[in-house]
Amino acid sequence: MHIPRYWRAQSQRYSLNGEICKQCGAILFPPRDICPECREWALEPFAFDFNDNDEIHPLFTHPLEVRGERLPQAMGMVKLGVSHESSSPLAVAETTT
Amino acid sequence: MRDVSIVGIGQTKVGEHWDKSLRQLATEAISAALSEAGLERADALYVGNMLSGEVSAQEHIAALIADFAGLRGIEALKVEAADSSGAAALRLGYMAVAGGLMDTVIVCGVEKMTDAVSSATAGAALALAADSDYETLHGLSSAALHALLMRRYMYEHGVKREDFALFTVNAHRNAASNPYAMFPRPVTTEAFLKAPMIADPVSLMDSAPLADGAAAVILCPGDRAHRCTTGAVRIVASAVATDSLAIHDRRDPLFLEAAYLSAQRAYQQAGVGSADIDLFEVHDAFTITAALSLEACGFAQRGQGVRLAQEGEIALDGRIPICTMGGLKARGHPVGATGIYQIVELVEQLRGQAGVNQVKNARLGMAQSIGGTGGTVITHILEAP
Repeated sequence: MHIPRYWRAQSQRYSLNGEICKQCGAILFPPRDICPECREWALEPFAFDFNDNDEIHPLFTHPLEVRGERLPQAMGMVKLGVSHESSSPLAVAETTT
Repeated sequence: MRDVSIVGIGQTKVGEHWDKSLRQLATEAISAALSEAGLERADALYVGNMLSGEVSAQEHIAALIADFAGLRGIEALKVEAADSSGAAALRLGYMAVAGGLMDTVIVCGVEKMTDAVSSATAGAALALAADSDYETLHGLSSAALHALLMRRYMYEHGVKREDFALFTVNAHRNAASNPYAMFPRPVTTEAFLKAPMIADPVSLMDSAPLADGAAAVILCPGDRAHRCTTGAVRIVASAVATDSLAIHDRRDPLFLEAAYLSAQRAYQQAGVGSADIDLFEVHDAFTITAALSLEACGFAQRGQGVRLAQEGEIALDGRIPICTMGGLKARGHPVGATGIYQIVELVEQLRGQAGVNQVKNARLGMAQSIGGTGGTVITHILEAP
């Protein structure tokens, strides 16, 4: 199993950039260009407030071999910080202490 | 649209078939279904399968199976929708017959998981159903994704891990009388609690086993069903809905929106509600999936799916019997074939051929097949002859 090469060109992989829909205000992560709420194009970049992250219930699991190793890792659904919005997008991520 | 009936069924035992290939398993199921329908050929063959390329190094399997099943020349196509590939093939067959394009259609689901060189390979293959860029990339397996959901469910609804045990106990109790089941033996709550963890809180006993198997059904228009068999079971609803592949992309990860939508569409087509369904073949790939599916389909309130099991409502004599022949957990989960196994088992129930597992007075049966963590959900409702 290998990682697609276009991964390197996805800026949100390195900087966790999102998008905001100008039509309905939905904040999207990962960026998906067409808003799933109102179907308008949502191309405006959005920066998250990383001092406001709310981590949700991590778990330990053995990763797939895509990682090249099978040591247990801590994963979780993480609510991304959005200081001016009550509803924040979730991301699945490896958690660190 | 024409009425569509199922006039023949066939299945292989679910398990580890080290001595049989994917094409042999499919041929066995198709031959049994054709024989029961009293037919030698059909107009088309639709094959549901998820992983033949990844695990068996074989794509183009619809033509391959058509050839080896003695059906060379027939229209044959493969359909893929992760775990719900079998149900997706049935959906295609249903549309072909209902729309008047075909008169007799074979729908076969087949999967050969033991061709994977290791359990790690099989796990990586199954994870292809998840969002590759945002879930699989992190190394998250299917079990790990469901563990995220189960942990959140336990937190939000005040449920303990042991509360899920009765889904597993129920499935194994029903599998004990199913000659086609992979694990035809009961298990206890104690065994559930002692099971080793896969991804905490998902243990071996929460998780359906990967397996080999094939199942097939024969479809024909309702007004011609009497020519084939006396036990024709009508498909009164066939509905598909989709959601995001990634659980973090959903409005609420604990609500299977595609399960809700496909069930509502199916109820509307059949002109019924959840209270009219006599038995439900639920997609219990994980115990948390069974709970979420029961809630999305209207059999339980949000957070009450587990209570349904605790109160005995999912037993054969309960309000909504599930996994009546063992479900994915105990009959086994040959991924792309599972959706057709569910249909075969419903047909047995609705014909009154389920033996000691028979649900009394079963008139309407529902099956729901879930791809991945809920990206594709397909619901069928069948009516007794």
